[in-house]
Amino acid sequence: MTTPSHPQGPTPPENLRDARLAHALQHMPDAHMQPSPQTRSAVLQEALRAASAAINTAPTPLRSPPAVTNPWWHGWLGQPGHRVPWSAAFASLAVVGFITVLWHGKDVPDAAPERALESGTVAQRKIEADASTDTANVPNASMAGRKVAASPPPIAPLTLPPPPSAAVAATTAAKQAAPAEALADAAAPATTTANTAAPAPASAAEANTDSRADSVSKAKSAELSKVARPQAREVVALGESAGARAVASAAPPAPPSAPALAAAPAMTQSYASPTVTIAQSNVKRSVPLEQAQALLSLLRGLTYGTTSAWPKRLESDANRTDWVVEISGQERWMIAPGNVRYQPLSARAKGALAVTGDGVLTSDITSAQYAQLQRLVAELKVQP
Amino acid sequence: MNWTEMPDDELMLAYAAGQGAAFEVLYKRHEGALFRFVRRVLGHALAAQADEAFQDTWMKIIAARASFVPGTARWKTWAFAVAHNTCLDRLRKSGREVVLTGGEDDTCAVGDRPDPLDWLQAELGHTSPSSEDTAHWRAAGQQLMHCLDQLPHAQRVVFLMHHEDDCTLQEMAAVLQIAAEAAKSRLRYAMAKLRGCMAAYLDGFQLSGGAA
Repeated sequence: MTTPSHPQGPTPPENLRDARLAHALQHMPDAHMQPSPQTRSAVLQEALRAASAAINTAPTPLRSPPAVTNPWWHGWLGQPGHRVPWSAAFASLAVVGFITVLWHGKDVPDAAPERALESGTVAQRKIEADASTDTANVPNASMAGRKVAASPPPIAPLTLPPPPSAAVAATTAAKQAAPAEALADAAAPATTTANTAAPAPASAAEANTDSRADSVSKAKSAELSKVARPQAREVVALGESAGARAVASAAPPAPPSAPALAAAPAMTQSYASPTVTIAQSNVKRSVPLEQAQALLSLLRGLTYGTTSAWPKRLESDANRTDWVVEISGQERWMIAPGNVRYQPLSARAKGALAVTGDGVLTSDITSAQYAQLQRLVAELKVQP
Repeated sequence: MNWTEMPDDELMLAYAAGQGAAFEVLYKRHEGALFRFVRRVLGHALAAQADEAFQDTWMKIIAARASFVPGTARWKTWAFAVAHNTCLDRLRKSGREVVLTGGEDDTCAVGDRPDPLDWLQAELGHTSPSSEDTAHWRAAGQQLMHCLDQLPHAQRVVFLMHHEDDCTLQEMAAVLQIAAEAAKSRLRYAMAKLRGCMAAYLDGFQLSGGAA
């Protein structure tokens, strides 16, 4: 301190205090002035606020920078732009879990050709496989010389009356220069007709189509034969319907040609849905497919004309329609006095007849044919 | 905890740690001295701003509580330095000329060296006013206020810090960021001018006090 420790000692040279001036300072007019109470309170309040803020915050943050908090998932997944392999692992597990949930409780499909997958459900394929095995055991002398490796079944099922659109479809297919596969499908019924005692004669166009389709469909014969067998076995078992009886009395079936096999998918679908629904006057009932074979044979034996748009009146104008016969999901007929409208419902049937959308085929019928159809429907009514 | 017995430095550290009571003690302890210092540094012309400058000084002290490091200077010296800077800003804004450097000549003889007898008289109580001296010293104080107003700012600050805060030359040099010799020179000039300005009162005191 510059203040002398002893008042009577020598004054240090740096001591520049003047006692008189200091005394005068103490008597200055402002010597006892104090700040205003407002200033005092403002200072104290600000000081206490700052102190409370210091208490609320951590004591150390006054000299340490605040810590940067990161979301918790950054610890698992890493910082953005620096993802750790955990990201890929979690993504893989998420995908696996999602697929597992999707396939939970479902059978995993076996490897199968694309065409087979399109033809029906897994249950259908199982039935077809069983039927194929059974059919292979059916004795048939004519099968020995067949060229088809997968011993075709007796073409008895093919004795079913050809689809009503056989001739029309073949002609349409030829005109439209459709792919060979489609031609084969379209020509199939005609070929079948030629090989059986069915009434529909084979035309020249049918023969041409048959020859072309024969060369195209060989590669698919094995697959299609599997599909054709169950239908064949089923139809043979029927035996009671007129169509079936007619078929049974026919000459031994010709070797299974590719066109004939190509007709199988429609029959396969019939096998998969063995019920026929008959609607009359808004009253519907279903009968087994076996009981309706006669009716179906007659309907399929008709010659249908050109295609036309599916009339909405088919559903709305019930007065014009006597009956609607439908093989669920495959084919449908609307029987009215004077004509029968036929509508293929399945994609394969549509493709075979070159029918698109809700198109229908129309066939004019005589009163005798109408009476016959009426009688067959009446017989179905009395069936147990 | 008895805050009133704690030194200034510890009170300030306690306040920086969140103890508001420590600040209250610190404030009450230095409120008057700091207010007088602010008012006298601002001078008569800016006396109306004394309250604001005083409040600004304490706000700066509060804001800088974490930066106070004991040891480099006493808390009171540090607070006076803060007050000085606050007043300096207001003086500059007011347009008053503030000359912090220059004007001092170390070779210039102040004239009279500090008179040891003056100090001895004050310490021995010879300056204690008698009944008739009270009015004399009041008048001397009034004159001193005018004399301080006439002093340059730099000299006024060092004089006030040296006599009000008991700052040593080294402490003043440190807080004012000037050389110790410059601080000493400013103080000598200030005292010489004040003695000349206060000659009538001081001489009369010497006569009346029988000193020297």
